[in-house]
Amino acid sequence: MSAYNGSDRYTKQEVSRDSTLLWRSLYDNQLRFSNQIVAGRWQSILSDKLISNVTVAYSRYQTNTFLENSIVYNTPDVFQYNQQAEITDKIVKADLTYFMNKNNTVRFGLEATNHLFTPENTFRRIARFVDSTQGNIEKTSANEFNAYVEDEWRWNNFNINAGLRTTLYRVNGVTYSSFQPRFNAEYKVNPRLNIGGSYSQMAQFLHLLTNSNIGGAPTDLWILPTENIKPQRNRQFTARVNFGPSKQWNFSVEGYHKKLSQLIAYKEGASLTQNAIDASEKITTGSGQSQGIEFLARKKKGKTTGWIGYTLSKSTRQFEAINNGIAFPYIYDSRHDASLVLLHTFSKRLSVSTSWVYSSGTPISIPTGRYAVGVNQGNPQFNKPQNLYYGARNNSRLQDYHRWDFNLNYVIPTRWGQHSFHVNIYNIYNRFNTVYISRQLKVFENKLFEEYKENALFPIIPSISYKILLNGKEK
Amino acid sequence: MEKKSKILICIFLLFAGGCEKQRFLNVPFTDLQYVVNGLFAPGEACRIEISRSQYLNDTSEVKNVGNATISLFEDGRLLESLSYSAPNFGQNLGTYQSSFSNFQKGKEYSITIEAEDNTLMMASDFIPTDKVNVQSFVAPVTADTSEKDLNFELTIRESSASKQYFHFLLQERWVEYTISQGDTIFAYNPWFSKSIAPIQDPEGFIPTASEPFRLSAGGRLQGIMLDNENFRAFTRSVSFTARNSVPILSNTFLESRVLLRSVSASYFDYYFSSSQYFRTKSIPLTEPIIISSNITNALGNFSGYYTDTSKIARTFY
Repeated sequence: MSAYNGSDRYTKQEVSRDSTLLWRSLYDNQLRFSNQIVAGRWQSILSDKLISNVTVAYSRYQTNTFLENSIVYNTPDVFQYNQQAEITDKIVKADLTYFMNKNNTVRFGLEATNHLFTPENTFRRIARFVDSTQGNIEKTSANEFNAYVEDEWRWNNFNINAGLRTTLYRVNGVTYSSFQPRFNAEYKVNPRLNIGGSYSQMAQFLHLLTNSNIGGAPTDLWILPTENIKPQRNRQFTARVNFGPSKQWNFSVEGYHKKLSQLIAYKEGASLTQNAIDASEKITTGSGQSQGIEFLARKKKGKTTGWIGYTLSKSTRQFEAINNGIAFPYIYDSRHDASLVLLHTFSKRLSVSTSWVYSSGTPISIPTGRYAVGVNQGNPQFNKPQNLYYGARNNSRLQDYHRWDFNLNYVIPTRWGQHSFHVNIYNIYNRFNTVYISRQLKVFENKLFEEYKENALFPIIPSISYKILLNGKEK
Repeated sequence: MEKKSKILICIFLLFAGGCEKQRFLNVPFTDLQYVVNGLFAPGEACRIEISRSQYLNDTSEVKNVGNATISLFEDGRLLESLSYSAPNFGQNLGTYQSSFSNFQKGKEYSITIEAEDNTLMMASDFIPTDKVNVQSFVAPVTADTSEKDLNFELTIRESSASKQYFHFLLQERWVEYTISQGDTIFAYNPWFSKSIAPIQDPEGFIPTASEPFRLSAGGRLQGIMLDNENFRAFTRSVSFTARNSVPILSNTFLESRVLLRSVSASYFDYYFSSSQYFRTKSIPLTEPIIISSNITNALGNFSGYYTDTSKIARTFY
């Protein structure tokens, strides 16, 4: 049996006003995430060749986002947005493993899940003393059934894993089915060198809908398939080479290419606050591609161990109705990703470890200028440079993310277990790693304009911890 | 004890500092660009205005560019160089204008623009060959009790033609009249675009397949834009309202007319995307809108249209 309960909360408020009290602006952002899981697993050996694991689990994930971005200047312009979302899953599954012979192992199983989604959105807008409040609560239940079988087979220098997963997903009176084959093969060229590759075809029934504006709230939503929104599909190829010149060292290179289809995104000009409009009318569908190559060097033995890894990757999205149909970087695209981890053991009692991580900045859309559009219409309104110029979707990137951490461990063994002391320093050089951009309306020389700020969480954070281990198990 | 206090103060300050840090974002400064806005139509002179884009927080009036050289071509053959007129009183931009007005359907018209700093820009477009096929036009359908607002209804006949784009534009002009010795003498002022309010215009409206497309600019609706595919599939009628259509001076009346324009795809994309921008820019958490451009090396649009039908809607005395 296992159980987990966790909750995170974030609050930020900022009030600005000018000395003459002509205008006043408020930015208020509150986020809350919580997660509860209870699971029970029963393992039984049905025969000397067959093992079964039956799992019953319940999980609940809740988010609550509140955002207020308001300005009072002549007349009030108040914007409030509150979003609560809850996903509850009830899962029953049985996984069986059949050891056919020493070279052949078959795994198969069944899984049934009931998903319950409860999104609640409230949007309040007061402009020129007119209060327009909208809200909706929709509970949606979806049932998912999975069956899978896979065979792991060793033959001479080959190691092959082939499998098939089939899924039925029923939501809002619509049933989707998918067959998801996967194949992985590895060939041992000699005791030091392996080469391999894989192919897999997958379907994802929950869509992640990301908001790419720079308003400041992390407002990603999970969207269920409907009659108009089909499940996301993807196909992936990988190829890899693994070289171990000695027992201490291992080097590997792996390349991948992934094609995604039936992806969803907000249309240009759509806002998640538009509750009055059916969600599917705010959404457009398109495709995506991801490819990359990963390098990893690892030292596995000795007083000093660790690894260094580097990934070069590219992830793009393409929608006919966005960015004039031109492909653009995905919001989670990271061109360069690197990590260095070192662990040195001085004695049985004292060890230190350090790590450094780096990734390219997140793509964002930031206006870089303004211009006037439309003339020859006889309307002086056109002569104001009111259009913000982005150039393209995700035209810019936040600054690169990097961080250095240090950890010191000191252990005092006892007859019954051990005392364990840890000293940790997170973000040693106090790097300002931007998490999101906030936009606030301001007034300057009688004109309204936007002000953008970068927000970072977690500067240098030292911490100490103490653990008691009983017979090698932490308590 | 002193050491302990110092350590405690340090720990307190560390946590009092909070986990979040904030700083102003350095908006990436890109080079300022030229902005070209040009339209051409049969029987009308080609008119082009050129301005410069501005930095994000520069909210001053639009910057005129009056020293460029613009050449106009028909199917690759040079027609003429456009002449420049400085801005009139109350306007910010001057106009480059052609003497040529015999623009024809199906021919390609292009421009090359050379700015003072030797920046070379170019664009080309066609005048569409398909016309608006009007089934009925009712004006006004209803008027409010104070008779300040006018409601129009326009129905288009279904067409099997390939994708077409339309722009319906409402214009008004004041006509001053004097009665002298039994004769009425009329003085006509220039037409100006009138804002058209859709009958139902929810906050943050975005056009959808089931709703007609509408064009707004400068916070005001400037017409209705639609393409025949969505129009054919869902609705063939558009209703719209002209607000406060009353003369404000004595001895004047107001004439209203609706222009039914067939427009090119680049015309539609440009004004439609900019309309979307104006409509949603004050709504927080709105997805950014990338306004299309068909000008090489600049922002803006150079596109063709023709006004198929001009309907006088109503006159007010």
